[in-house]
Amino acid sequence: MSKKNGDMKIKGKDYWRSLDQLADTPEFNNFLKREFPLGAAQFDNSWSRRKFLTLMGASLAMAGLASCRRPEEKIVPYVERPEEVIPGVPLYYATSMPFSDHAFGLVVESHEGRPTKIEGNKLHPSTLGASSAIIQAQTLSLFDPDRSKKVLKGQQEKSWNDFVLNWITAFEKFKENKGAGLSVLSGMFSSPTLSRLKKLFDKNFPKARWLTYEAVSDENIYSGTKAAFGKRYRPIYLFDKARVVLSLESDFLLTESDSIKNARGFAEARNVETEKDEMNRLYIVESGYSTTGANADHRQAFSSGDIGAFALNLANALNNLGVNVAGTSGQLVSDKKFKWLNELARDLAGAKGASLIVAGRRQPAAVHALAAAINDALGNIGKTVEYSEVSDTSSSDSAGLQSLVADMNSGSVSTLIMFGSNPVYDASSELGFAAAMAKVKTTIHFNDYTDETGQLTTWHVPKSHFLESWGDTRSYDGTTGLTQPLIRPLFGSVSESEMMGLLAEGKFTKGYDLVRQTWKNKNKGGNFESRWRKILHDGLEQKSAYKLQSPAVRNSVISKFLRDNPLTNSSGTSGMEIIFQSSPSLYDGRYATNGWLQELAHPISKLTWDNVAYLSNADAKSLGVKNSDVVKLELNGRSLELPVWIQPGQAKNSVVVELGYGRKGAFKVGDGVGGNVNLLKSSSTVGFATGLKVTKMNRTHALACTQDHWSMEGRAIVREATLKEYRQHPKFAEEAVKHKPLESIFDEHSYAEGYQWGMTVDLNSCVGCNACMIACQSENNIPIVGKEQVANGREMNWIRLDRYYSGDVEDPETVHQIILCQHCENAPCETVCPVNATMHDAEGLNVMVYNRCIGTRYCSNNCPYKVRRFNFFNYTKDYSEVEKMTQNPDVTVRFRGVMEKCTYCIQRISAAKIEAKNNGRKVVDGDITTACQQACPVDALTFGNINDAESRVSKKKKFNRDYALLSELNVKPRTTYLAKIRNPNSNIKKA
Amino acid sequence: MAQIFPKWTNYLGPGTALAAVLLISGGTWFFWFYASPSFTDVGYRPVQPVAYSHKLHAGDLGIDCRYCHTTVEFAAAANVPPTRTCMNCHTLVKQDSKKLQLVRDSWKDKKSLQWTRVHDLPDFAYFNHSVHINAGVGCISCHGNVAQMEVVEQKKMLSMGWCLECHRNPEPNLRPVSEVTNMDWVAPANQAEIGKLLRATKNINPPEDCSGCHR
Amino acid sequence: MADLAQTATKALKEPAHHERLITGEPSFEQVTNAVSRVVESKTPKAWWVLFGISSSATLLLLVAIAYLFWEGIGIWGLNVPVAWGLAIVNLVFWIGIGHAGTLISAVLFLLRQRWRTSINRFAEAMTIFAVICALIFPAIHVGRIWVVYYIFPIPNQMGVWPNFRSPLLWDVFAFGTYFTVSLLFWYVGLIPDLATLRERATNRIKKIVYGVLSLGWYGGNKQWKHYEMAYLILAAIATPLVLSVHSIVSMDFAVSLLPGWHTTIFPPYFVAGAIFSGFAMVMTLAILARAAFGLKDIFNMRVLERMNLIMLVTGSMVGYAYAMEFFIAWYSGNEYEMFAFVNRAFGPYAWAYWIMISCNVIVPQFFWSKKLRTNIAFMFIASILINVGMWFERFVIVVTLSRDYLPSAWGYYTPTFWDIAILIGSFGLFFSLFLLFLRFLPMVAMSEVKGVLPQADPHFAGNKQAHSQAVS
Repeated sequence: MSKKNGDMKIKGKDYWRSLDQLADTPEFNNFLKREFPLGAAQFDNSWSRRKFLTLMGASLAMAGLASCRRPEEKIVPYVERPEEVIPGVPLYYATSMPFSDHAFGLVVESHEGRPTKIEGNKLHPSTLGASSAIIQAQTLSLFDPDRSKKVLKGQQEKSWNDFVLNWITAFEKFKENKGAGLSVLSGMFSSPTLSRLKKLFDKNFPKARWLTYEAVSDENIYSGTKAAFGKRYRPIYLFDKARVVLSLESDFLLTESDSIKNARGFAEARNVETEKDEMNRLYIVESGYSTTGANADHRQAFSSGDIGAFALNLANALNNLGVNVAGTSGQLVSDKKFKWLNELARDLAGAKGASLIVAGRRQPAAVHALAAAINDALGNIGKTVEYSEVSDTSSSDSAGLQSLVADMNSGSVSTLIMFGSNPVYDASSELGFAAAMAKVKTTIHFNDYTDETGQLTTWHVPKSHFLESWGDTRSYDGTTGLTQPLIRPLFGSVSESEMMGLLAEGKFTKGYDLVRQTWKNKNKGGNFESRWRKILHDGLEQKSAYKLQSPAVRNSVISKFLRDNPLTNSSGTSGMEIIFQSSPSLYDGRYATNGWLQELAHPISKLTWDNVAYLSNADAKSLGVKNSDVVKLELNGRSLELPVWIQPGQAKNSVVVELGYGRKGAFKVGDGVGGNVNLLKSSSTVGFATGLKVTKMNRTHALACTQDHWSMEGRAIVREATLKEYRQHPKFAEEAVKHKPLESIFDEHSYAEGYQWGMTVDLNSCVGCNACMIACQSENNIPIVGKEQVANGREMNWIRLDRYYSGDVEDPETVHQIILCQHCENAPCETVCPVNATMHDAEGLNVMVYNRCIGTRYCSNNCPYKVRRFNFFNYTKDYSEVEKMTQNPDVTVRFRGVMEKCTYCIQRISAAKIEAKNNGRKVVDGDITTACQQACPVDALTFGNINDAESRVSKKKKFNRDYALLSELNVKPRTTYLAKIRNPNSNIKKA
Repeated sequence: MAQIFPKWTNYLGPGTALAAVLLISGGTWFFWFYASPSFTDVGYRPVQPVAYSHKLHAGDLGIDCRYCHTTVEFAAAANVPPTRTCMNCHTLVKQDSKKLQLVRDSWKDKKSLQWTRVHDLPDFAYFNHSVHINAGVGCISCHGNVAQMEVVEQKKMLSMGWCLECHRNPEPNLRPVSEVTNMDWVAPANQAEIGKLLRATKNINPPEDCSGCHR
Repeated sequence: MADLAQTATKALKEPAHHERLITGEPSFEQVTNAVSRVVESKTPKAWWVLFGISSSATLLLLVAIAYLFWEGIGIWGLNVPVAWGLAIVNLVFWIGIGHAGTLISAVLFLLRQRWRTSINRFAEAMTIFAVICALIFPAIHVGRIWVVYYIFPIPNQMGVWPNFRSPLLWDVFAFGTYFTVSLLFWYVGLIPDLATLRERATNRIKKIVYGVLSLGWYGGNKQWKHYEMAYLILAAIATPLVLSVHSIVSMDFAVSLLPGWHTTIFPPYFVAGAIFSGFAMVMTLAILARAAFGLKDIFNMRVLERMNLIMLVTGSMVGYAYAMEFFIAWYSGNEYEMFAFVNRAFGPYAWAYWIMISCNVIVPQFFWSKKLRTNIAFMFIASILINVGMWFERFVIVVTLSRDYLPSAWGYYTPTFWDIAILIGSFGLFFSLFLLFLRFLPMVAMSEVKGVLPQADPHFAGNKQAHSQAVS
């Protein structure tokens, strides 16, 4: 290991040299010049940040001396301006992002050929115009200077041509022996072109093996539907139609597949405009505390291993109510007492055809089969859940990985191609993948980083980012779309389709041609060119979704399956249970190189830059540990040390750990962050395992949490009520704080004229998914500050997602609250600024003038919401030229010593106003969406002109749930909140 | 005891006070004058790589500003024309002129010409040309009579105070939109009325808030 | 309370004419000698040692400031919510220290408290140096030091003025006026003594330097007349400043809407606290100087005791203010306000709060005992404890920031090495300046002390002798 680290360091240094080399190529040179006419010095990566700051300080001082007269600036116009490009005016292109075995349809904002901001595609069913934190963070990943930049053989730099020639030789050889000894270990994909090429590969090499593996997958779900229906189906949930939802440890609002659409549907069914509206009810049983758990009306925590027993008991309870769940008669039933199981059963039985059981991907196939059977029995299939067969898709097969490794060890694999995968990191350590790989003669790694795997293979080929590639995708519901490049490959990489084309055909074809070929095959006849243009423009092909089916559960098959895979076996095994959860930010570790995501606070624990062992309070007590104490987790002879985090509401006797951390090939951002929990996994473990031994180590590991205090201290901050209470007291939110009418002794400024911007945040919709935070970071050039700074309370996010617990520490309720600048009409920050750097404008915005700010920080002290962020260091100055390309040119990049905060995306407001003015009209509702609002999957944020009675925001502000946070201070915030409503089952008594 | 200070030292006190007053007021004046954009920026006239004459093109030949600065009506920036625009004419006109060698090279090698920026606002000021043009602020108001300039130079201060002057009272600088690029347009005698009328009909309310330009 | 007030008034009453303010019955010449000797004698080793220590600490301050400019405010432990830290604590502390000097020299002068003559020069010097120390902090604590001039109302091309509603801008005027007036007041007071030193100077350099500084003073009647008028006017100007400066400092906090800050009691309470801490600092220094330079007759027990009584009074006022803050917080019924005060006493910074209470409220109460308030060792320790306590008072106020309205935004402030470095450094600067003062300027106002000697009374028996000595 240590040797590898050493190598990497050297590589780190190499990288800068290679950037210099790259910078010498005419294209790159031109590109940089066009973007950065002034240029800036390169710096050596081995310098510490401190040293760098020092140097920047020096150059600043020199700039001060030299700037008696301003510096000369160059204008470098195009030689020939591309027709559609207007300097300074962004363009928007539709594309799609492949992810797992599905994809997201997106629209990307491009400034002079430089993608700066990603939004969801309103036309695309996978995003409906919204997005997620991971999607938003892709621009940063694209411009990551740590990305792989060269073809490597061993540690030697080779050219792409070298690799092509090499492969062609191998190709001919394998063609002769039909691919014997050739194996591909691929990441998941869902793409007509990749699928077409894979078929070609299979045809050319019938004896070769193509295996797909990813650490996080819906494998169990497919196995479950196969057991229930006899066919591998993908469930597609229609949450908007479900009135009673039960989640069997499914975090369908955030970490499960298709979460954006799920969240949208769920929020729609939960939306109440008046106290007369109906809303859905969510029950959840889970071990760890998930985002979905935070949004539940009833949540019960118990080990993942007991979820199956719960489901079976539920089926029996339903059977007793006359709802006959197929395959469950005669199955063993756990004698465990589940708190509200009977009430749940009655609730479900009373909502036939409008209820929904969703099981999480960590649960074994039997639970999914049972969930399908219950849905069938309740008549939900075809109403709230539909099924489809997937095609053009390659899904994970973890059993196959075992046999591949066995073959590698036996020497029957002579060439192994790792296609977009990183098995050395994410295969279960029990398999000993790295050792097995060493026995393979030729290993080829194709990925976007020289990651753990790429450092050990014979060949490494850099993979293009999807924003640089031609490709196509099928989303979760099967809608096909095109991936079009927003920029030429920055680092001379090749796209997935190009690499697959080379592997399958033995010759290099441009991605564009490969994709067009696929689509031409599909669209025989008619005017292909115009259809192609339309699809390219829209980003998707209309009506291309998979055919939805409503299959029936096969009674005999499922009952046998349940007998063979008993669900009630968790008791009896000794030790604790360990649950492997995909990280809401880093997913399976592929985004560990992304600083935005690393610094993004975990939706529940609010931790950044680390993964931890989540323990229940009771377990922590019995182990004698507190937060940040390191424990050793031992499972089947393998061990890992992780710091402890006590998670209220965590199931007893179970430990949740998150994947994606402990990377060793994630370079300056991701290396050494957290621990790699794959080391504990065994090949049979998909979601959880028992027999874990936890021992306390005598050391601590500092953790950076963005919210230290968990209680609202009884203050009326997040105001919530049950639906029943709401109906009795429709104005409960406003009445939560009693004070006399607040009157000013001065004449108050009138805001009756012109545009008056305001916002509402619907706490009832907000699920706490963090999408807004990264959207804001991307739009507003918010820097990454690093773990040390976050730990010191200096995170820079302009929008934050507060999380409070209430109730019992073992079983708390959780609320989320988005806090951004409230744009107070009587803003306390403004009066105290000695230099007028923060002022009110005529449209009610609290504006911040960076260039005027001297940094007294008084405004931050005086802000009751503490939404102001201060540049304690010069966070933005050490960006390399490549990293600078992520910056939004419409927003000032802030320097050290200035205060900053949410501006309601004033750049978007200005653009819309100018656009309207130039066209001689007024800004109309919907012209302006703030970045957070646009990203929000559940439409929790509404922005607009509150002077316009017809605007959405005005209407929402008239809801009786509307309240202003800390209104008793009479600061008159323009951002108001709509209170949260829960809908608990009145037959269930609170503990 | 012997006197150590001669008699004239009695004048030291008042002398010092007077000197201090002079020094402070002199220093203030010095900075007021020499650090002001009217001294540092007005008259800035860098040598451009190609001796392009606005006087010839815009003045004598009467080419409209927007022939080259095409984006001025609908974008924030009034773009500097791509080499292509020059070559539209110069493939036929003055094909062999030595002065145009760089332009031809740029066209041939597909390498950009590098002009030196004359009118340069700081990066934290987000100026938008289109909205000013559409409001009827003439090019000449900020750039001076470019059509008479052999070499372009900065004529106005372009300081924040200068911008605000017009934002507070835009009427003297308004003209019909059709006359925006007309360098020879003369304000009519009743400009005060016309300005008021233009302002009212086009609903021109230039922002005086920080957010108008800074974000 | 009435008792306390009575005792205090009684103690502070103008001493009877026959009361000897200066013990030991020195002649005018003896006074001159005693004070001038300190300046004229060879520099003692102890001075070098002390100066070495304090100037090293000053160097630390310079290094800390240089590093601060280099790196940014981030080297301190500040964060959001606690965006102000030790820099502001030190600022308020030092400004407070300065108050005693102005009070002693100006207010007591106007109130004809003649016992102040022993300590006024000393205290005024302390004011100047404390204000210098204080003024460092507002300048360095801003994020962008190179544009700090935006805070001054200078006409500019941007057409932007500072914000006259901001207490920080009031500070600019308050501090500026305070420093200017204090400096003038001190300097005017120094002129006759500088002339004395000029006359006694043995080498030419000293003669010239003291000569220039004494502005041609020869002690003529006309000069004395102008001098006394100028001194009186300056005292009159300085007097309101005693109240205004710390009131305005307190408004930095009181004008905000933070629970624990937003309170009307701050101005009087800050002024009382400032005088309290200032007297404690004068006491600490006076005891040291008294021992080191043999000025026991001038800094005699009567003066020290009176100072202790002032500390008892102001300390009790401060204690009253603490209690009243708590009462008002409860009485207001405002949950944030109540929480802020309970949190001060029992929250994460309770340790600082209880240090403050012990040092500021409990310690001065011992001065009720005549035995203790005339005990040099006790008063020395007490004066130091009071200064510690008063520093912590400001610390407690500033870290109130750590917990305000939204619990999600709560934080904790831990000073870093560089925070501590500027604190130590500011003490270094203060003592360096003070040591230089002791070494090169008369630390007691000779002319004024002579004025309160019995000989200065025209009816004094040895009048003739006294007259001849006064000019020498």
